[in-house]
Amino acid sequence: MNQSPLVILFAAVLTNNIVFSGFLGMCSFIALSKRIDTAIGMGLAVTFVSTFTTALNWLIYHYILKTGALYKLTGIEGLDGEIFTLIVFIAVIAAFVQIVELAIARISQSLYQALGIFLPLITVNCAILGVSLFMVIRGYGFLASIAFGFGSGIGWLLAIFLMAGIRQKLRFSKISPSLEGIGITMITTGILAMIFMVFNGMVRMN
Amino acid sequence: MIKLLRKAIDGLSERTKTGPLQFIHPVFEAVDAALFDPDYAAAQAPFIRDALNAKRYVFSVVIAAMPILALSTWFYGYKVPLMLFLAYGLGALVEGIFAWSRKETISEGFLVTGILFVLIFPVTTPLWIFSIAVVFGIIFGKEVYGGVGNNIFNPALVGRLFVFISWPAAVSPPEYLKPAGRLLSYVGTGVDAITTASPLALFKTGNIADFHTLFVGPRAGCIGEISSVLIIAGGLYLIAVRVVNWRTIFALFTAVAAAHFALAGFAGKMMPLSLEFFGGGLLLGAFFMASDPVTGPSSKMSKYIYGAFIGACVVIFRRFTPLVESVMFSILLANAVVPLIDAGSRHFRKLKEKTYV
Repeated sequence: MNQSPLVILFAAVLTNNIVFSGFLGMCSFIALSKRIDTAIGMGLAVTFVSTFTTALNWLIYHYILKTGALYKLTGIEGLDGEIFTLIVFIAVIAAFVQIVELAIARISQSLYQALGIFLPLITVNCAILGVSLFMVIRGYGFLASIAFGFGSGIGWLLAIFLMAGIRQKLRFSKISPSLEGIGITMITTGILAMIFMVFNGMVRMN
Repeated sequence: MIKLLRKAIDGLSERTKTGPLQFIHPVFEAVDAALFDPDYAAAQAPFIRDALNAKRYVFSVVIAAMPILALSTWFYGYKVPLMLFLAYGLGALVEGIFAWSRKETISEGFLVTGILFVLIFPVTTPLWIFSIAVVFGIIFGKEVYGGVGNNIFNPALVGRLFVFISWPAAVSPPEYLKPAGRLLSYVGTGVDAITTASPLALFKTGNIADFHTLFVGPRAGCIGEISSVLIIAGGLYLIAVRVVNWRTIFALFTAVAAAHFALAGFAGKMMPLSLEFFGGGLLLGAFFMASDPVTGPSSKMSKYIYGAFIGACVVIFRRFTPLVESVMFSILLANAVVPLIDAGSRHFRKLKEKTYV
């Protein structure tokens, strides 16, 4: 359980890649991997959001929601925020995504247009919520949680970057119409997941 | 004689183009293509400088692999040609079904894939596992992407990867069958036969095979790894007929040596360099799989990067993972990165052109 943040970072990027071993965040992974530049934009947005929401959620969980934390905070007995964990995590992520959306609209209008509906949809990207929940289940400390959130985001970025390259090359392939798009992306993801098993033995993450 | 045969096949091919026997037309087309194509010659400019088409590529690889298979047959028995027939039969079947559904003719590409399948499995692999690898590799490594020339990953390695994950002990056993002259005997799963560890596995337990075994053979391992000399000879032949580009291979070997010495600086406990080169599937992977023009990159610069990527991955994975062998994973990982390498070098070239203007 007490692993160095660096090991957790490495494991989250390669060994326990959120896409290839957890199969989380697949909807935006498939929808936005058609072009390399949109893929990188989305990957960076996910990395940013997952890093900061994991940190925020860690603080909120450990100082407010955790059983016994509210008693320490207010001195009133019988208060327990644990059952609100899921709702609060979703609310934090949603609020944070709104901020990111405003920022991207200001900084890069073209990226904002390219990401379109998927930017607000980071809110319901299961990868982000999954990272926050895993962090609680695995009992990471604060630094480890940040490393985990950042690593998972980078892992997602790496996965969508690889897939976008492959899909750009696949535009010249004669894929049968019934497999075009989502079908061939799912098959390729499966093969990539098998290839990523090479990292399995390199580090161990609980 | 040859004209007679040709006439007969042409006639059958014509006759089956329409009518009730239409579905076997691709078979005749394939036989015709394999034996007689290309039968046209350019009468006017522009002329093609070198008629290197898929067919010549295929037959060069088959010629390069033949001595290896012959030697393996001597040392491992007639299960080796049996596996080749099985791979070709299943390959032709799957390829035929897909060609039929796409209304195309069967391409000769499966002749290479089939031979690669035999080279990368140990002879003790049960035939049913071998068959699953062949069928999976050809369907999910090649056909779903649109058949020969459209695949992203090397189909033979995709098939091997699938069965490697499902039945690791059958594909990469701790003990391989010890090569010995057994031309006329059948090797089953080889549980009761005399076995020996592969040189890389031997090293993990602290032993080092002598150089003669490593270089000349016969060496325990997969069917294609029997003799390093024959692999090098086959590879040089492929380079000489310009089927294989030397850039990938040069960069790959350089990167293996460089990564080896770089890691030896701080990671310690490295295997000797000769083992790195001759102890595992590195030569086989480099000459017969990494150099595949379909799954590899297109420009010169990206070929160097691609080769170096594979070489570095091989050394790193061998040192830092519990896997004994890592060439398969390295090549597949590199295949996945190829489109990005190509895109990157295109981008780089554009930048360079801009600065010249």
